[in-house]
Amino acid sequence: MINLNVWNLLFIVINILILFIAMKKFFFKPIQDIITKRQEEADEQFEKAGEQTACAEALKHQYEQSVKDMENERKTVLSEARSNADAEYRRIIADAAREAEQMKQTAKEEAKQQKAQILKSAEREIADFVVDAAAKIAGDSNGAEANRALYSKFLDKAGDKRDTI
Amino acid sequence: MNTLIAIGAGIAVLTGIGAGIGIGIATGKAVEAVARQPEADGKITKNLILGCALAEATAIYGFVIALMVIIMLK
Amino acid sequence: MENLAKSLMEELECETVFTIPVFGGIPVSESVVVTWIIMAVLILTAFILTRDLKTHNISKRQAIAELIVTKLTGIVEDMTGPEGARYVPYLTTVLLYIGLANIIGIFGFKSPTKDLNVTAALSVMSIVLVEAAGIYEKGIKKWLHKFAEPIWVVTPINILEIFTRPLSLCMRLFGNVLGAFVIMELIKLIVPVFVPAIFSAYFDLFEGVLQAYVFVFLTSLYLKEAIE
Repeated sequence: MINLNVWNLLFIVINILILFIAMKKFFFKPIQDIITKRQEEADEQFEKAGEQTACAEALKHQYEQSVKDMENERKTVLSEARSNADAEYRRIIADAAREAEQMKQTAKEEAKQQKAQILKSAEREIADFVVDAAAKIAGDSNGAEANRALYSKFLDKAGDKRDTI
Repeated sequence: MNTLIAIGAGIAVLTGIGAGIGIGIATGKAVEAVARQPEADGKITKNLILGCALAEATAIYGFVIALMVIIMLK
Repeated sequence: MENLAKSLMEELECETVFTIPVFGGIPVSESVVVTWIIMAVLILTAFILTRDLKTHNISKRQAIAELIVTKLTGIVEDMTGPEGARYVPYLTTVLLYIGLANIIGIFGFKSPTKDLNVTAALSVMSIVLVEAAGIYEKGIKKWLHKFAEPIWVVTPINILEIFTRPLSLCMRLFGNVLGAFVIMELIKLIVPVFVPAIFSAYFDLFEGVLQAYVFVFLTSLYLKEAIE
């Protein structure tokens, strides 16, 4: 047990080397390989799952975007319609107001004209009446023509003055 | 002659003293460490066993020498 | 007492089982034969465990094989560190071999590690591996320079370490196994029944595995020092 033997040493060394190579080839390597292979597979699946998730995420995003777009469109259409209606309403109101104003104006004008006409006819009538009265009083119809002209001139002046006041 | 061999072997085995003291100190320190940090129990025990196995080596050397003295000189 | 000494000597003596009749007879000792048995057991187990490996739906056998490999390589890789991952399979093989060689005494075989030749061969291989790894990883210049570290005065001691390291590895393993064996024999002499079984659990199983671990641990420690 204590004496060393070269052959024994050599045998043991060779044995252990053979054992090492055999163990490495038949035990450690295949199992290490299978473990790394499994790891790779798992990684691959993980990657695939990640890709799918990303895809789904993108789809969801797209969908959300479209929903948002639709909402926006609805809003714009609605607001457009509202503004259109508003404009129409305003236009109608303005038209009506303008028409009314016009009507008022014409009515006023007419009234003014009528008033002037009435006044004029009244003046003439008063002048006639005054001439008649004066002729009757004077009893002479000769100077009737000249007098009427005179009176009428006077009344015109007086009436005008009174009108402007 | 045999007596001398026996005495020589006995002296060789005295190396056990060193191992005994060494393992004693190591164990004492390990107990202190466990008392201070009970949660590190596993790690300390592992290191203690390893240290003891290494410290034991001196005693083993003495034993081997004693055996050799007996076997070679007989 | 005379009887004990005689039977002890007989147990310790590693007989030549047979001689190969070449070069004037090459003796093949018992430890070599037991080593062959251990090799056969290990390789057969490896074959059985690694039959039809799959990545999915693994069988219980494959799960056990994977557990063994990952645990063992994990233990050894813890000791060598990531730089020494290249040497893990060899160290694991040595761990398995020494562990089994120490335990095989229970089954009636003579432990190969009780033979100085085996432990010497193992430690010589360890130191060759360490130095070769140092040269391979660092280059011959740096490897030579390492002898003069930390200062040139210690160079003789560093050179001496090449011889003392395998010697200490060899003697530690051999002495431990031998010591455990002698103590077991003495216990068997005093109390022949029951008690030896308890002590056997410690001296054969625990001590054997522990010494295998220590051997690999020290080798990887030297290896780490050489390649860093």
